[in-house]
Amino acid sequence: MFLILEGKNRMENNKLLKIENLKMHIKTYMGTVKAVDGVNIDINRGEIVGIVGESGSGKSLTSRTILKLLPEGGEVVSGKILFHNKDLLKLNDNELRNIRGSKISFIFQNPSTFLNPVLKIGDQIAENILLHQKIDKKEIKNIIISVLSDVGLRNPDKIINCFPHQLSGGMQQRVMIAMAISCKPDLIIADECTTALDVTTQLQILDLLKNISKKTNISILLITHNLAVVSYLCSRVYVMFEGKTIESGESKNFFSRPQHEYTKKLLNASKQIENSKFYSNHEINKILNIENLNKNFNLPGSNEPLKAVNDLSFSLNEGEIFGIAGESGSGKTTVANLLMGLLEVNSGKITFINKEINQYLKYEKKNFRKNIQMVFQDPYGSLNPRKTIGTTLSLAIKIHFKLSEDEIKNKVFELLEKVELTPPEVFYERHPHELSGGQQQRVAIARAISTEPKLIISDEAVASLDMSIRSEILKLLKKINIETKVSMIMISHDLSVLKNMCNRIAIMHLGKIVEIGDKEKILGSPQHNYTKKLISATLEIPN
Amino acid sequence: MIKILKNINKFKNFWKIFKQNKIGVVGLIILLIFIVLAIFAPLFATFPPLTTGAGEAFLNPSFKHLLGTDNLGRDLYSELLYGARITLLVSFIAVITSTVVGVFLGAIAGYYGGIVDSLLMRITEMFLVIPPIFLALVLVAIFGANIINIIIVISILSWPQTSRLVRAEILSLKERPYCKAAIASGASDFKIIFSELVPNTMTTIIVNMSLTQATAILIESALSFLGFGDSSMVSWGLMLNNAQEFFRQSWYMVFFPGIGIFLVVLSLNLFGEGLNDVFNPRRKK
Amino acid sequence: MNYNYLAKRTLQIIPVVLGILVMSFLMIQLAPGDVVFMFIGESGADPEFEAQIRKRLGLDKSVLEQLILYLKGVLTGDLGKSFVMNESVSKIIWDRALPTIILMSSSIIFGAVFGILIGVYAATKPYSLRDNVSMVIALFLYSLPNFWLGQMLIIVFSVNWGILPVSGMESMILGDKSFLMDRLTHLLLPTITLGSTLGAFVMRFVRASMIEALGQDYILTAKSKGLSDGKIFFKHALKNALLPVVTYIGLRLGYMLSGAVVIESVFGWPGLGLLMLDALFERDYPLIMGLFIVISLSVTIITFIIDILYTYLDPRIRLK
Repeated sequence: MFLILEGKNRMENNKLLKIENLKMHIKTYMGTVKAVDGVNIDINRGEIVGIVGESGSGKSLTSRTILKLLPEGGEVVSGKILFHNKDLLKLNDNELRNIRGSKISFIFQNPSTFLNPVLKIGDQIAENILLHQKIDKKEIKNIIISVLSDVGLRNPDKIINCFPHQLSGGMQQRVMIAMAISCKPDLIIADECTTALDVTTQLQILDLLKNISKKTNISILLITHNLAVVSYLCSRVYVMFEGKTIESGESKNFFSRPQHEYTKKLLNASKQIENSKFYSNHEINKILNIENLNKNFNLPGSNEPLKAVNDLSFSLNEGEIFGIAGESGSGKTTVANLLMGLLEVNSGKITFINKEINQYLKYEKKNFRKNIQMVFQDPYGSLNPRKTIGTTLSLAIKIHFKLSEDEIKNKVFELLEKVELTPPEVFYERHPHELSGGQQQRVAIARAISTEPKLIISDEAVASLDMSIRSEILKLLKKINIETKVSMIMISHDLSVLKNMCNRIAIMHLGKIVEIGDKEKILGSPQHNYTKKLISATLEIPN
Repeated sequence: MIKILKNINKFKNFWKIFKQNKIGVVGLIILLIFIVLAIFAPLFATFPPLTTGAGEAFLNPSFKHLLGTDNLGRDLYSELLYGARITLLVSFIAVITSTVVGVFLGAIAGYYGGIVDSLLMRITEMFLVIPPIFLALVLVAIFGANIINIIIVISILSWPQTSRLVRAEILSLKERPYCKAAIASGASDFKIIFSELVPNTMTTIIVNMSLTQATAILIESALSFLGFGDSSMVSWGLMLNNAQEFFRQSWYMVFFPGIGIFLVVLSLNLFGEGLNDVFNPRRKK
Repeated sequence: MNYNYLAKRTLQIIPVVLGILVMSFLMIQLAPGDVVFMFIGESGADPEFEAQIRKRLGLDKSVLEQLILYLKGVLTGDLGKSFVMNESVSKIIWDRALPTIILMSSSIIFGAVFGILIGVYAATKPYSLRDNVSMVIALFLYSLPNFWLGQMLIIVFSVNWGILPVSGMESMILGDKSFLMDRLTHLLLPTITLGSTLGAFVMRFVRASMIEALGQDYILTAKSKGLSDGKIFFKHALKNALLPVVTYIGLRLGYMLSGAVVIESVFGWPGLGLLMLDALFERDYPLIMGLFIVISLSVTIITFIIDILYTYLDPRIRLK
């Protein structure tokens, strides 16, 4: 049995976990991937430490390697993981299982898929406790109830008998946390545990973790790609890139004085985008006018229809970049689909370039389609996987312009150059899977501008991209707006994205616009309660 | 010209991966053997089809009669070869027609949804609850048991499955952003369905064709076995029907036609598996 | 109890039921040759007599009226009278139903158990030898023409070795065997023949379902809690994986009945399949259509019940 964890050693030792030069490689049929390639991390008692990095940096895999939860084909090649001065990598399976869930436990990203859908909540938590501690079955219920209330859940006695799908995302994550702390571990590893949550719920969960750590002196290792989260919660930070820890430091110094080139790049990308000049037209032309827009959805198994868009009104000027901010469920994507004519309106009027959209769709469909385009959130999904980039980009041009084959090809080349995909001849022949996420999104933008539209809607166009790519894409969009004077509607759940792109911003909540106005006014002196809540929940990196 | 070269290249790539899949290759080889035997049956056979009295009845396999003879003295080896023709031809035509119909209906239903979709779903559900042989028997009893009817009947039985598959794929594909982008580009519905979406279901359709043909062969043989096939033509099922009475005299009357059906069906299923592995690769150790 | 789902499913099967009834009606109408000639023969007959028969059979009314009469009849259990046997179709079917029910039940149980056991076994080590062998066995089994399998089994076990009966459901003379043993030995080969195809499909399905369950995120959570592999396999994955098997078997019912017809023919099993074949040979249209309707509707109803059962088993649907 694992004796070292009991007894006096605990009190004397402040250093909880020490990862020394960890290397973990994954053998795939395409070769060996050096997923973790030299990681050094220290965690002390009661500390909250963060690992930050973009996708592919190896941060998640590092955390899982600590407890040898290796993926298919994964193998630890070298290094040590010292937990209370004992190397975890040298333990046998039995000893490892004793530590898992009891001394070191995990919280994962998406609680709805990480909880077993056919087992009751109480059962899943009890399982953990009974596995590691000798507790009388009669006592179990009380312990679970107390741990559920510790994580801030009301009616824990009812929740015990619930199944995961009966709870909201935030509640499910609290259950996961409850499961993690149920055996009073020394260390909790939280892997992107708030990424799938709403901004406001995210804040609540982070605060919960902060309190738990303070109260019980549990250390937390927080894995995330979000620098703002790290600065909010962690006392120390490690930056990972290509499987290595390249920089570390105290949170407060770290953000003001980054050392490594990559860290600097990361921070710059997260911070504000260049405050370049907006296009402003002296004659203000209204290009889009929305009056009392309503859209309901009929939910299966419910009598009340869901009011996705509820009495919405706003207008858009030519050349303007208009932002719509809101959390998931606010109705912002529905608005986009309504504007595009992909969904039918229940009631209300949408006037686009002096004509109602209904009229357009009936009589001038082609003209309508030419003038309004969209860029979507999922870059890979936006492109037909079986067609080359060239074919995809030619599609809209063929429909709206009468040009010869060669002329079309040249136009496509022009477009590729405009979105900075050079040399265009090469990209013309490629298939989507051969391009990176950022490149795919550039193609999507190229497609959007190919019809020379008057309005481009960007629906979370950068949400799926890495931080460093994000700013490049936003810069590209800004450039297009300035050069071609195309109006834009930018939809995002992240106010920091909208911060320097938009002239005006509307805040949406539960289908309504709760506040709308010039960017400075909204962000500087918000009036509505929800706006205030949204702004404060949007974590910022300190200057 | 470039397009042809591109396609040849695609095929080369496909073959490179397919080659590695032993199951699929075995299936393909067996299938090709039977196709060759069927096409060149007159060349390989030693007697014309349905020649009674080619030899004495119930002879064991010998040099003259490679697989023996049946109760009427027909050479089993020759009968088997000619039977292969019917088996492969009927099933192949049935598969082609049912696939075309199934893809068309499934794609339209999946894309437009609403009443069209509900209608298709109810119709395919009907075919799911009606036992295929029952329906086939009733239709053949009403309309007659000739080869054209049998092909039509098998096609009727096979299209619902294909259409369900295609419908399901189209349903999920139409939610993809590139479909919405195509709509936004102003492409016509027809172009979107058949130029953007259906090509992305080709892999599923092709695998399904292989498996559908296997099922078609089983249905056709079952019909012949029960006595409802086209009795003017040699069919493996019919041979097995004939053999029912003569278990005690000759087990090879039962064995060889059955093995024939089994091997062809097996080869199609193996080939389908191989194709599936190429198109939807799983992680291998 | 999720009443919404129940209501929705009920609404869905009504058109299917109607569709089947209308379809069978149409098939009768489309039958070439006038049904009446069954009674008066090809030789011409007294036109008055002909008119009488038409009236008796209801053929003098419009097609639509005939359809409504027909539907009324079916829904009240009147399926007409057999041309050949001079009894009501309903009674004939009722008398011959039991053997088929017995055969189907035993085959389903055999196939399901066999398939689940091997499917789970294969999933314990995916892509390993045991897995590949199991899947090849499954492939072979569902590629076999089931009637041929039946014939071969008879040749080996009954003709050559003589340990099992050749055909039928019971022996004429019991001899020294007990009643139950006699029935069971007769049931054995047909069950194995009919059940093996189902077993093959269930095997593949269960294996795929298990592998999918094992790849889910909650398995990683279970591992991170320190649960042993065995516990994870049987407590976390298996429950999730076996749920859809119930529905899957329901989906295969139609195909199984299809196979039952053929198997009954091979083994001389005196059930509805054999009855159907006799009716077809004798062109006994009322019986043919009656069987068609009864069988199709039975499958519809059983599938419906299985669906409802599934909603009770899956907590995600049971509690909304």
